[in-house]
Amino acid sequence: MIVDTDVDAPNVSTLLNTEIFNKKEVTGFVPEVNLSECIQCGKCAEVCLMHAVIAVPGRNPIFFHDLCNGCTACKIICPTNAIYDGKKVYGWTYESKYVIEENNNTIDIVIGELKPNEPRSTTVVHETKKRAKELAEKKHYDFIIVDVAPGAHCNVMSAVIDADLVLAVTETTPFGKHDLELILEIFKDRNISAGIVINRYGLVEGDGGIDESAKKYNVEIMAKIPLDNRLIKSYVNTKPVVISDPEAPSAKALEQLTNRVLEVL
Amino acid sequence: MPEVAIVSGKGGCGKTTLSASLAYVLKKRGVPITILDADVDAPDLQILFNGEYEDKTVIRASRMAKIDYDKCTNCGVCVDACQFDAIRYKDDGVTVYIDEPFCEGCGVCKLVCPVDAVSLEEYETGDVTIFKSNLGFRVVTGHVGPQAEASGMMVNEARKISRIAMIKDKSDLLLIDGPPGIGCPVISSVSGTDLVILITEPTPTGLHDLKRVYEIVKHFQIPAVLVINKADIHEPIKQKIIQWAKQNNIEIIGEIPLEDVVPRAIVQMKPVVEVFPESTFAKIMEDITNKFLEKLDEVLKNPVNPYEKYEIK
Repeated sequence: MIVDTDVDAPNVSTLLNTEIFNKKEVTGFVPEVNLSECIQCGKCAEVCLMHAVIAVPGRNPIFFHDLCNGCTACKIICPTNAIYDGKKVYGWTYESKYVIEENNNTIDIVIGELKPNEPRSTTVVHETKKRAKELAEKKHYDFIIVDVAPGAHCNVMSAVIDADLVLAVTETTPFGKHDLELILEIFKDRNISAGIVINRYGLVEGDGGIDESAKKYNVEIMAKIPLDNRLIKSYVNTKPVVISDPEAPSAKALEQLTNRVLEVL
Repeated sequence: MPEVAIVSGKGGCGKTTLSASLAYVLKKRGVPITILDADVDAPDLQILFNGEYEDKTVIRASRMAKIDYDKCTNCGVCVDACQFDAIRYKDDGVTVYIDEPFCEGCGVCKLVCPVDAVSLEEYETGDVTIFKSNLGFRVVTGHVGPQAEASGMMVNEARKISRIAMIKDKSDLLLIDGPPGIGCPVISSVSGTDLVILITEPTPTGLHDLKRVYEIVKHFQIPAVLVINKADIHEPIKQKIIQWAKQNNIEIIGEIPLEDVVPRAIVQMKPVVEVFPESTFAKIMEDITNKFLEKLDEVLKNPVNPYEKYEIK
């Protein structure tokens, strides 16, 4: 099963050219106030560390939903229970299916999408994984492949935190090495097993110091996927290179990677 | 002081490559600039300028809950109250603990704790460093700590500190090399800027993510221009991008072909235009810079009033 947790820019269904269905909303709490119960005490504004409430004594409080992170502190503190649950949509989750024409095998896909202009990626990642796990259990999947956002921030953490193995994809440039070490540092802190995949190998001469990083963090380089025009071609034609062009050098490297991942697991 | 953000939605489209080369060309032409790396998760821009360390500001703006186990009775009230699943039971099923990377520091656990066992502690969100590049202008780099769920906040702090760097540079322009995606650090990079440079590549994902990041730009009503990178890798999708730009009234200020000078320059840790001044890339960069300056001039003369749509009663 494939799960797309790059909720900022979910691309799995674009890349596999599949239809999405079964849309579900990802929502969070925002405060609504019943003004007839409000005693204008201002406690809701005092506890809100997001500064999303303004309360002037003797006036009704004003809630700024754009600043609210949905923590519910205002609702808990309210002495007259005047605050009730409002709903804010952070994004959506979907299902999709990829059918491999050659053998009619089906791969289920679960996708998370952040609503543009909402800053709560983590919540959407969380819900996407929850939905994926439910579906994976129902359909008895052995493996879940999770596609993760770039960077090293909160939604990356949310996505990888309970993984059995993380593949860190990099390239042989100073940028690749720099960002790889940032992410390996986090995996080390959290005790997450990792492997390195070098993509676009041969882009420049040598390995760009990736070997050194692998030794430093004691992480295995599991595959070197060569720079391959045939891969770019399959990419833009929205068909995985391993299916559309299995003899391509990149496809062969991906086959080997699969074997190695299965061995390690 | 004008600010220009460079964003793409999809990662690997060439934001940093474009930012670095644009900064280089502008500087060569005598335009005083400062540049900010707003990709606070993985800041790479400084690698290309080999700057001299000048100043570092540690930002301590984050809070995290801490449990006093002498007082805690493991009642679990906080586990239920936490909206972010940041308080969980350990494997023994009894002891509660804070899973730190998920804690937002909202203080709800402290609020509900019946025995006052939770406190909120300040901790380091990240840091903002100013480097002086070998070209003379400042490179400001924000970096968020791995524990901090605060990329957007770090971008805001880095933008504030960039103002100091701009004064030192006597600079008229801040270039912001934005992060990938469309989440909080992107929102913080784009909001309040004067012009956005969108950069994309003609792949299905490049176009898909371009449309998504443009939603942010549109929300803040910021004028935008577009650069198509790796423009020759797929003609049909390139045509779709051009059509999309036309529909949204976005000027395309350059098409950069796929060229191996880009990775070769990155390996030398320098902007492409500096290492390969005779390349097609460098020639196109000159043209992009001209069109960029024209557009910037135009938008600064005709500022958008974001409050126009609100009727003041």
